[in-house]
Amino acid sequence: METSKIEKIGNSLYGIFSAIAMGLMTWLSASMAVSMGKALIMAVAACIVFAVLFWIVKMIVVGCNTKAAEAMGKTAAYKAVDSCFILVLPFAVMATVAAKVFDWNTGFAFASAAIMIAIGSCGTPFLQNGGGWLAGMLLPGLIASGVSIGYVLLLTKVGGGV
Amino acid sequence: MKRFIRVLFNPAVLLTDSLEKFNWIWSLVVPGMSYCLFFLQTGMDFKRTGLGSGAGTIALGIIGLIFGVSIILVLSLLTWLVSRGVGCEWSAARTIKAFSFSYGAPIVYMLLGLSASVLFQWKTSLAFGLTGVLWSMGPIYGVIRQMFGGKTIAAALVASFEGVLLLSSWAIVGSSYLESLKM
Repeated sequence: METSKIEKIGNSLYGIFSAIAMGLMTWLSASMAVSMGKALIMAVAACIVFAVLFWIVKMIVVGCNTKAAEAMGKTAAYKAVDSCFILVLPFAVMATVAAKVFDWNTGFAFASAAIMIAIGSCGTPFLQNGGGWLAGMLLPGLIASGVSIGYVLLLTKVGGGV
Repeated sequence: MKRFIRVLFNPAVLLTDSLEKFNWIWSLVVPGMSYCLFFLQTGMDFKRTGLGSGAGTIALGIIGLIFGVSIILVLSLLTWLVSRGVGCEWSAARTIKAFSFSYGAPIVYMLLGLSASVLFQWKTSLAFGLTGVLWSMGPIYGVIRQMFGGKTIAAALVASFEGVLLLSSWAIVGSSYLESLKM
């Protein structure tokens, strides 16, 4: 297999790991408020939704930062965005320890903070490569706020006040 | 503006140019003050709920200052040691400075939180304080990734471990303080 193809598959794995991390944080919070079965369904749904969402956000952000992405090279640009998304992994690990060791119901807080920071920062690699602040900063920030608010509202509604 | 935003997400950018000559000891003031302001807000929240006193709040602020300086010193030295294994050539001083400047954005959160706490009597330790601490994970991850030569998974794993260490230390300090209040 070509090196670029292996690299592309590797980069996609970052998005999948990030989506699983989001599912884990959703499960941690939901399992404290709803039945185990319902929490599991919510977690799997979160995994799928975030896998698709991360991919869409990546396409939008790279697409809106065309000049900087071309300067970096398309594969490097996608990798840079995926590398920001993987930031949800430390949050998921911290949320797991908080829930299982300290018995805190903070999975939800960690998840919304992770969304804000991971998606909100995904345009910064373009700022370092000549990108504009509108597409590199404001756009990811707005998307992150929208996703975070949507996540909180949806899970509060579905999870019955998780 | 762009430079300011870049620094908020990746303080390592600062070290490549203007702040290389900055003394690492002074850089520790940034996390020290961040945690001092965070713990002060926690103390004020405790006081409002009838758990603490004015003196307790000040004591908690001092504990926060010591906690911030020591935890960032430990985390940065730990990362520096691990990074030697992957051939990173950063000095210990440079690592400490990069970790310390990761608290540039959180300190803004803490200042806003403390202002809201004093002016509007809000309970701000979670909304502003904890959010600020969580925010620091972004820049810290950026620094670790740079130290690890862009190795994303390795950086995410080290950041996860350090995040857990930070969280656990904070939880232990917090619960010890709560225990002392009950005595």
